[in-house]
Amino acid sequence: MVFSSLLFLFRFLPAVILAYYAVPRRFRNGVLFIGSLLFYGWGEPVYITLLLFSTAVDFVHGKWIGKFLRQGRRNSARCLVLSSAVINLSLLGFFKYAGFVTETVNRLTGAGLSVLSPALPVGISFYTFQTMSYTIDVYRGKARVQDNIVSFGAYVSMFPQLIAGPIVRYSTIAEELDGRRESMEEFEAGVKIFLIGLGKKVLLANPMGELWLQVQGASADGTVVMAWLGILAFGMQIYFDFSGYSDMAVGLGRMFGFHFPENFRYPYISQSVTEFWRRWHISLGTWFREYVYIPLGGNRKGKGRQAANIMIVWLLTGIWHGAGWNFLLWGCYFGVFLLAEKLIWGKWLEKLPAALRVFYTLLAVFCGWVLFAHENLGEGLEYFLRMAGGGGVPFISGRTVYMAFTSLPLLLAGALCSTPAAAWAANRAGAWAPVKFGIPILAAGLFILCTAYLVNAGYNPFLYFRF
Amino acid sequence: MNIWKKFGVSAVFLSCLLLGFLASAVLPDRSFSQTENRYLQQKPAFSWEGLTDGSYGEAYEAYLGDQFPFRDRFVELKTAAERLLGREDINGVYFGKDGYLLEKFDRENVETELAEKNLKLLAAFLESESGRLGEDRVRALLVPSASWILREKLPFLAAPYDQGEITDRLVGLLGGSRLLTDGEAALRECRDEEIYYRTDHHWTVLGAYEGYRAWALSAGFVPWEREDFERETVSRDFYGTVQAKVNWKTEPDRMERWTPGRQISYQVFYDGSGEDRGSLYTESALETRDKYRFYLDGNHGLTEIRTEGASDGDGREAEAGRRLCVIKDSYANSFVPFAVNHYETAFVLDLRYFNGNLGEFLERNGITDILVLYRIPGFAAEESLWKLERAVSYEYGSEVAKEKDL
Repeated sequence: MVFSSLLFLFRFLPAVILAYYAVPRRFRNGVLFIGSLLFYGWGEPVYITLLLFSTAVDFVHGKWIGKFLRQGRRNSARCLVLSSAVINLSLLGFFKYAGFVTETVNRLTGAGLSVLSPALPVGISFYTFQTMSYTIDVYRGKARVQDNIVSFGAYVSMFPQLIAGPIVRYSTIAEELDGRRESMEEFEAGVKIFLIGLGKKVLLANPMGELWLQVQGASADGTVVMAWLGILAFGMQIYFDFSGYSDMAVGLGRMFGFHFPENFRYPYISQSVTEFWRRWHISLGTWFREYVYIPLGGNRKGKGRQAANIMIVWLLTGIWHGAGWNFLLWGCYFGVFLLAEKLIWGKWLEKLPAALRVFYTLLAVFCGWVLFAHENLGEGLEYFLRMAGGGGVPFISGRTVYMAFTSLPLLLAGALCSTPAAAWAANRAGAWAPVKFGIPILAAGLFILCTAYLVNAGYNPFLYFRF
Repeated sequence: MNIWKKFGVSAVFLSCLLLGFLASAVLPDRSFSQTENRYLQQKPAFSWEGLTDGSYGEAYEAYLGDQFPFRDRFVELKTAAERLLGREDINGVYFGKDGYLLEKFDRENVETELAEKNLKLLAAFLESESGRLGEDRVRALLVPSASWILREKLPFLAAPYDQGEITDRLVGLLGGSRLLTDGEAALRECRDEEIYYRTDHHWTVLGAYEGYRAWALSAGFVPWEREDFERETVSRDFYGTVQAKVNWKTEPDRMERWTPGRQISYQVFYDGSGEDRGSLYTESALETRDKYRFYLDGNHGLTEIRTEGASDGDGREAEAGRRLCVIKDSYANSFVPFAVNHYETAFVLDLRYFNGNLGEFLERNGITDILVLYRIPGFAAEESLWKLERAVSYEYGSEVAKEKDL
């Protein structure tokens, strides 16, 4: 199930809110756990078993690690951490990367292995990372062992962040898992964040996606400007899609008394690529820093080692986004930028005016999106070529002008909403009494508009009398 | 008031969720959507099997979407919001000037592999048939759709695909345009008149008349003049397919019937049936949503029309023994009533529903004249033109030989 669907909004969510607040506090994690399993199993019930398996494995591992630590057997505990990581990574490896690996081996060696391609279980990249964080945090003494399997199950399967993050580390919400206090103020704040996220996803990300599709479809009429327009739309789509989803997750969490970490902080106003990665998908970056970069030695073991560590983390970040060479290359691309900013041009980048620094960052990031968007590297290169005007591609055409003109309001809205300006203006206006009074009305309007967009997606006239 | 300011958003949000939940649970389900012209998903029956393989979930989501309360209003709201945001086309439809809704076609919609294949099939067919019947007797008329002819009606800056490129390609394949009727030029000349519907993808009867006129002139016979017909309006509330694609309220279209002002009568037989319908028009279709079926009863695989009192525009009686075959899509449905005035017998073939051997058919019925009539985007996407190949590879004379044997 996805948040931006009629099923979620008008069936699942009201039922869960009702059940959650109707039962006594001690049963609430149970409601969340069962609700989350339903949420997860709606599309592919088979993979509920996978989720339950993952939950059980790490619950037991956690308990034993705790026990060994109490007995002072650190090495045994360490082995268990390793075993938990191996199991989780094997799951992820099998379901997400088996196809990619076998295909690559076949291509390199001609071994003729049968290509494994199990259907990718939704959210597996997120929940395996979450459960791993639990055993590691317990081992490091950063979190207490969870003795209640329902509470632990609620953490692993928590539907608000189950399928698209943020990746909530166990230590972040360990306390809230058993001792949170819901309140109407929190609920109100949660609804607001949720609605903003829904609006980002439905009103901005989806139309941007349509524009990107249009540009892709028009490749025979492609122009330089159209190629740039397309990648701009793609970058906007992926940002609003992802950050909209994260907002909805954070908002839903607040409705149930949880505080999930912020996942995006206006990445498109960053003044360097390094800064961009501090603002983009923050929970993933934090995870890799905590569990990979720092354990590898971080920056404490000399420049060479640090450079290697950075490259490792960004290769992993790349491949985490998808099993494909383009994602690996995409990660590598950013690793190189980060190193270069650290070692080569960071110093004189700082001397440039802020506007130029933002321009440089956006250029780097959106060129990166070309790699990200094309799983086929050849097509990606072709797209780059078109952006550069190579191969006799015309600069602009009537069709390009029309496309740009009719999507101008959308692009402007997107640009505005990817800076703090929109939120700032909204807050300023919201301080004014009449506007403040009207906020719930505006919220209703936003929600109804989103509903209209969702309903329209199923508007599907059958034109049997077409020709 | 304080409570409203503090908790108003929650209150409104929860009310919306609850209202949506209740309304969709309580309001009766509809079985058919008039605007979409299709049956709506009904509540799926629950089964464990369906639940575990996901089919129940899928059907349930479709059900929720199809039966959502005030669904059509929501669709209108979305369209209105998009137009407000500067969109000039939605769902492949331009919102043109003067209430025109025009289908939007871009290069990738028309210049497909299938289109290239169709062009080659058509060129081969035209060449072999003109070789057999004579160059004056075989014509193809490919009609551009409204968005290419009525460019003045398009929204600001719209840059539609030049559908003439398809005709040019055909000219290239044939090595000349002698077998083609230039529909584009004929229609462009009277683009200030109502030659296309505002809400439908077809040309109007007037548009069809202009196409007919161009065909007659290119094939070397005298067309009837506009004054030779009595024009009457048969419907004033026609909403066509293009309107259905966007569900946007515009003024409905007017449909006409042009009746010859001379003594003439028709016998009409559909799909090889021996029953004479006696008319080129189906009045009952005007009572339904699919009003365009009024012309020639919509699409039949084979229609045979015998005309009593056929003559050319200058009054010269139709030459005995001339028999016309029109191979066509629905653009011909309002066109054929003009063509049949020149022939004692005419056959109309819609290849989508005609499954016989075309060559054998042409020979057995003694066809002497052929017209291939399609709308260009429809032609590009037509999947039944391979049947033309049957006529190209057919050995003419075998039917005659068989008859001699008997």
